[in-house]
Amino acid sequence: MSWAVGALGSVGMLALIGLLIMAFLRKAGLLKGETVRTMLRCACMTALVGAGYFLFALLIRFTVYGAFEAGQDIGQALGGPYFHEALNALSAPAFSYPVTGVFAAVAHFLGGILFRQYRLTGFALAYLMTTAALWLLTVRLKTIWNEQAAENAAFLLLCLPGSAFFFLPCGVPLVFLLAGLIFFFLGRKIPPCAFSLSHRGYTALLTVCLCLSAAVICAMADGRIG
Amino acid sequence: MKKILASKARKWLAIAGMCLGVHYLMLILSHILISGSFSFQGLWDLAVQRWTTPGDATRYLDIAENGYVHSGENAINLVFYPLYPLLVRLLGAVVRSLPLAGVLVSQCCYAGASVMLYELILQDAGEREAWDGALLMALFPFSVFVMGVFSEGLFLLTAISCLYCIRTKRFLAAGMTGFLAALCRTQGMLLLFPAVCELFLLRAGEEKRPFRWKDLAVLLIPAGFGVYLLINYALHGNFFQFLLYEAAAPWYQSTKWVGENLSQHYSMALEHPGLSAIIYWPQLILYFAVLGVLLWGLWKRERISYLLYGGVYLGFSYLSGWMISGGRYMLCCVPVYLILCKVRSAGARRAILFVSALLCFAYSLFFYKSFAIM
Repeated sequence: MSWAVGALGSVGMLALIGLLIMAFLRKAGLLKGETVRTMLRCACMTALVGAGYFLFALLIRFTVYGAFEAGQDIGQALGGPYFHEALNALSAPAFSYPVTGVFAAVAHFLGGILFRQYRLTGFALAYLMTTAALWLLTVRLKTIWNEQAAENAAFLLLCLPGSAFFFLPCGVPLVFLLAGLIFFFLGRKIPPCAFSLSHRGYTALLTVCLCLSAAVICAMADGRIG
Repeated sequence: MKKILASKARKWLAIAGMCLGVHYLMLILSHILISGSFSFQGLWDLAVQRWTTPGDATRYLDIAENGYVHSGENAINLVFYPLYPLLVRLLGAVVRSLPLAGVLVSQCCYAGASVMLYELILQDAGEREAWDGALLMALFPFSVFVMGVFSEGLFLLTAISCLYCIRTKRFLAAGMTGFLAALCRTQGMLLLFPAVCELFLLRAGEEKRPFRWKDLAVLLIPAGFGVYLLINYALHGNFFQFLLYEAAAPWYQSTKWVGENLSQHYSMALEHPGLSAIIYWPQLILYFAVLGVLLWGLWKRERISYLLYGGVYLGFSYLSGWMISGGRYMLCCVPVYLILCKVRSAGARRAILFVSALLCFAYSLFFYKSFAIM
């Protein structure tokens, strides 16, 4: 219980620092209200999709294997050697895979500050990176299409098969963030695009993606992938 | 003009009287509860004993009398900042008693701090909020320390004066008061954050005020800490000698991340039930309560410089490993009063006042009963 008090206090302090910086930038006119709104929408969307994937993985573990302990340890909800290797690397960073190694090193450093909560920090970092990447993509897509289309595209991205890896403490969120940064800076030159998918087309595509994504998570929970 | 000044002076006297009166009332009630009867001699003895002899008080008096020494068992007094003992020594030369001078400095400074807080709140809010703010500071659960030979009263006065000068854009005066605050407590140098924040917003905001050389006076704030470091160097040849003393007996303090310290407080609260209610639980609860107030202030769009100061003050104070005076430190977290006094709901205001008054009385009574409140 004492670690939980410490972790809660740490998270609270970091949240306060983050919010104070944002409030200061907002007050100084360096951050617009619309930007903050987009950030919050991306953060909520990412959190909800991530929670959905995790609950789905738990459901699979419960029903198929009767693994009731999975709810107590986030690592038990998903199996697979790569996943566990990534989790272990958080407490002892290994550079066997360069990108995962960089992610693990950063998570290890932050986890040390957060009272050695390496796993929790790893998941939080993955979430923050995914949110940041999604925000960068949304901002740029807004200039190419429009706000609604940008949000639809961002949501579709979170539902792509394998997108569950965006939420895991491994190299994938880092790659996603780097891709988001590249798109953000290079995408300036892309002119506004008139192409748009019909509502029916979009929902059909989304449904297919979600089914495939669910299958990937089932395989992950089964320990066949990741 | 004279009428306005007289009216102001009456208000200031009323505020100072109310804030000090609350504490004198608590002293009298504590005396009656402890001894079972009332006598002026008993009241005097209790006040003298508890205001001038516990923990840090004797060390401050020793510094006021003998100054810092570079060897011997009192060399560790270096961990206490010089401004308060210096004022005690100066006033002591007049009143011919260092303990009396210590109490006078503390109580006068605290009365001044209440008035300054009232004036600071008036900059952004009305009379009611300003009055409530001063009352909240008087009723803070650990505010009993402003009555004795401790540096809390002086720090409150210098820190609130600095915040007032920052708010009214008098940066030269802010630098000077901040300099004194930094000579009083480590947390004083944190006043640089709100000062720089306001300066930046003045330049970047709607006013677009150009840079003035006078603005650089805010650098006097860290200079106060610099003077303290020079004293360390002059005595021991080490700018950070005070850190070595703090890490040794009887304080055993070091710098650890907030989470680790909170976790330790929780474990200590479970291991030492006798001390938990007076040291560890209050420290834990105050951390989360102050954090919550600051987050609520953010939500309510309170002035960003105040929030910034509150945030760094809270974080900095809780970086201290093996802390036992968290309640006393949080007494000086001024932004809490600046935020709480603006609560609009009458029910919430009453609830805050009710809880504060009860806890303030309880901890004052514990203090006068010689419990280990430090």
